[in-house]
Amino acid sequence: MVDAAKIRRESMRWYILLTLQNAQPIGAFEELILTTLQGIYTDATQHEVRVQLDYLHSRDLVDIERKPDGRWFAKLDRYGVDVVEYTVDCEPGIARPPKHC
Amino acid sequence: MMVQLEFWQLITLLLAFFAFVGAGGKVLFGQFERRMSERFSAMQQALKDHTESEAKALSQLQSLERDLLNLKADIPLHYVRREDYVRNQTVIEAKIDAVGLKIENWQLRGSHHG
Repeated sequence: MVDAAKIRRESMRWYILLTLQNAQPIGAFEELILTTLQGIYTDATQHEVRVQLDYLHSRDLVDIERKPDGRWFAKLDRYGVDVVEYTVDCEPGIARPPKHC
Repeated sequence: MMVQLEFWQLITLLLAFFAFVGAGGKVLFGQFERRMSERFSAMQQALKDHTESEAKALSQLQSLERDLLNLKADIPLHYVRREDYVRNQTVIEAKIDAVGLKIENWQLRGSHHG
């Protein structure tokens, strides 16, 4: 049986990594990540973004800076860059598509 | 010691004294006025220089403002916002991944059926 929620959260993690890869070398605020995700999942919420960012942070893929005004600023870590660039294997939990080109 | 003076001598002496005081005062006021006029002319020159430099700075500021407005008008023609780039690029990459996945599924299905 297809677990839609699992697909959604794992895909979101991958799209967050992609967004941060495109935002290199500066990084991005959560608003940009959210609007990017909403381009794919129109009903994506800030809470979802934060949950997935926190997960990616706990996997040392993303560095999160919690600004004093409450906004989160995220930047890809070196290990995160390696995952996005297909340099290292990706453990389960992130829907990284197979490298096709 | 006692000095005795005639009245006309006293008058002469007083006149001489007042003339001396008057002459001294005139010299003093003359010097004062000369110094004041020097200072005023120096101040006038400084004010003139300041006004000129102010006018120059103002014209530079106006040209800077014009340049800035031109730049603001040109920016949207030549640049894309970083946020817009990141958003579009990510969405396009996600779509390419989805297409790649679809093609892969077709291939698998084709090979399975074949």
